[in-house]
Amino acid sequence: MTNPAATATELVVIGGGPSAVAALHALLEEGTPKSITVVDPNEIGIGFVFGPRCAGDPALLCNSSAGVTYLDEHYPDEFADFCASRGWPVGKDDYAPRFIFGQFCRDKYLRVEQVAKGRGVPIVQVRARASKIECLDSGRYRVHLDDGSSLVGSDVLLAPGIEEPSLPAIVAEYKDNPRLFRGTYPVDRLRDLPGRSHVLIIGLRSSALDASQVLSSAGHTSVMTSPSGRLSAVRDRLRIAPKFHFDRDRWLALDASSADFEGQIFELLTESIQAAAEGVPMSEQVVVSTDVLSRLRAELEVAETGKSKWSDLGYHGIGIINDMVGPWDAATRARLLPKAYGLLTRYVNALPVLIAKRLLATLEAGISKVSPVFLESVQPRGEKWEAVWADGRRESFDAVVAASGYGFPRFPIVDATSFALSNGSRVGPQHKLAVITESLRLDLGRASGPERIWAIGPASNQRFPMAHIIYLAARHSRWIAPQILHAKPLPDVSRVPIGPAAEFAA
Amino acid sequence: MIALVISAEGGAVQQAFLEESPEALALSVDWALDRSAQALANAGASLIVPASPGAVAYASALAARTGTPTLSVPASRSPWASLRSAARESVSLAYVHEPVDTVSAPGGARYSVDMVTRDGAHACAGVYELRIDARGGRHLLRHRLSLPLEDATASALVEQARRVLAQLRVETGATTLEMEHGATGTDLLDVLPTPAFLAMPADASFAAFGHSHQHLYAEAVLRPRDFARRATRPLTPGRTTLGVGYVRNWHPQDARGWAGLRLVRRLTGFHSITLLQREPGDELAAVVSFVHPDRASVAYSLAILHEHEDSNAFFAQDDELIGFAIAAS
Repeated sequence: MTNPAATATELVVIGGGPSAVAALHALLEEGTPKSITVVDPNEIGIGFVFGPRCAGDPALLCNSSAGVTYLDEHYPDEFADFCASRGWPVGKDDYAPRFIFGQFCRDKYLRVEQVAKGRGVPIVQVRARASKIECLDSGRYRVHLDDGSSLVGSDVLLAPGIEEPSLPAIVAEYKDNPRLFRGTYPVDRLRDLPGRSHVLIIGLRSSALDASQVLSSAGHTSVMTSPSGRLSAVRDRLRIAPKFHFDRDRWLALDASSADFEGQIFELLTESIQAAAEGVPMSEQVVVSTDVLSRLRAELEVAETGKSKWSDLGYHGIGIINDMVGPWDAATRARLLPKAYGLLTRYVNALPVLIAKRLLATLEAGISKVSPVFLESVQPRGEKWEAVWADGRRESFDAVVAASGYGFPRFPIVDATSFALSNGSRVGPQHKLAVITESLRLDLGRASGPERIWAIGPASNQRFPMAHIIYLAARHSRWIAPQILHAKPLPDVSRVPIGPAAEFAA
Repeated sequence: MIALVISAEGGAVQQAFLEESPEALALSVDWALDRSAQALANAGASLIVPASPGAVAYASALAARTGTPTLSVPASRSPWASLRSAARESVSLAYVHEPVDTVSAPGGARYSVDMVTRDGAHACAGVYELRIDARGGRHLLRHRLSLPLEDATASALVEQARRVLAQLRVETGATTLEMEHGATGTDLLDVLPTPAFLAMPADASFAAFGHSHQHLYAEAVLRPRDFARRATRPLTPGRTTLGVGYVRNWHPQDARGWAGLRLVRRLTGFHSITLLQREPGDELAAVVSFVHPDRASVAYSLAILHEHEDSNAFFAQDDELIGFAIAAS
């Protein structure tokens, strides 16, 4: 830690998970706030997603390899090094169990806390949830808490996590049914179902696969389904590629209003894939098949033989697309992002080999299934659920898991001077949201301009939609620290390296 | 006078009261006392003070019969089966007790307070928050997590423990008091004689606090002056946290190995693991201790331990996966 320059910043941090730890680390490297208060009911550093209720089961793995899972953008190996120091046999390309990352985050927070304490600025935790933030006439901010109390600070950092699972419309009316599990976590609810339960899982992304894995391990059977019916691709790794395969200037120069925008994106993407291909033709990297099982089997083979070269584009690709999408206005995002959703989620959220292997094993054994068609309806029938599939089949289930994703944080405006802290599961078209600027500041449309309130990581999702959220939070932390402590404007992000500077220069 | 405190056979006593039969009560009192007295005689002890009777009337009956003070506490809600162990072996030893089936539903945060007494002066050896889970109709102690002694809850519990021991006229010995603490106050659940408690590894406790229950008891006997000074000092702030997890093998028929050993030694704060000599049918397989300055880290490590236990990964083969290819190490 360097540059302990003292400032007058009285910082209130909303949320105490990994994003907050990344931000606190970057802030203390940049200078020294006058005070730091963290609002979170959970332990700082551990948070919810990486806490014991969500991450303790050994079947649950991080979504990204250890080599790109970090809280300090200047030290991308920090998690891999932590694993090595504890004796965990985790290489940079491995997907570690989530609980190890939870322990790493707490460990990192303890070191940050020591630094703050050493500078005479102890980090104060308030165990509550923030519900609303109000702009005061004094230029400061009042943070209202769910216990009825409030805090006042000169600056606010929004770093809430992702806690509330979405509820698909098809089961929304049964939200109070005890045999409808909203979200996969905590997994002990699934594990402890009566023996040999047959469970319907709505979703096919990572949390749905987690549910399937946990159910299989506990002796239950499951059927997964989603409207697309498609699993993510399989990748052998997600690493910081030794070479930067994107022509960044051309990507960032693309005009989103151009009629041929999608064609240009496709062209640039193809160029990047070819640059990363190392001679492996695209036809050997990608499997095209409509049958879930045969496609999974074939993609697993491609990944295990090291031919899925496209996976080396993932790390820089997430960064460059975020940098490209960040400046877009809301209408452009609403128009273009849904078109890319299917492709991006399939490849950006691709399955690690280990998870794909486990899934394949349970599919082949008939312990779990992926339905080729989506649901027509699903309704409770006594102690059971009856599903009607789109092809007319009927199937009985003991329980339903709604695992179609989580609502990202959203900030609906309450009145001219305040906004609420909510999430995508609760916010609808009737809500007007606070704008998140390119500098990650919230703008309520007041004449005084954007507020001294910053949103990073998941909280910035409205503007920066591309997960992986951990490294996004680490990147954002470096952006906001100089702004908060020294009122330095955010430099042109198109010139800010993606990931470690030395890596980019290489 | 050495006062030893043991639990009564709550079930039989309660039944006697339900029937409102003085004869049944007398019989049950006699039976409990006889068994207790026999156990004490085997251990070479000469005096008994029964506790945990489950009813004021029972306590009064015992007081009248023995001429010694008794303490009335709620009907046995303890996850310990102290009398069973005492009768089986000797009250001067302690065991990892399996829970009794008569435990009622826990109604709040549970704590245990380890105390050592010499010449009527009481010193606290540790205060622990207990995690007790309901499973298969039983309530099981999953772990204990130390509380910093400067914590308001810990202070209240220790004060209560001192009062209880004074009321019992406990003069010398080591005890563990189980309590429930909530917004409405503190309830005493049980008082157990634990001069050497196997379930609390002494070396882990020593690493965490510089002493253990056993060390303090030895100090009370061997260096009474030092102990007297300790007993009168205010509680000192704790700098480290001790967490003790009790590992059970829920599905022994599916157990293939001890892969969990590779797990626990890498968790934050890992101190030691003791594999227990198991009797047929015992689920309890090991005691794992964590010592670390950060309480949240210890609590997290215990939670991870239980998740591995509950998913049966702890007893997987070494070459099987625990989340990822741990066997590659």
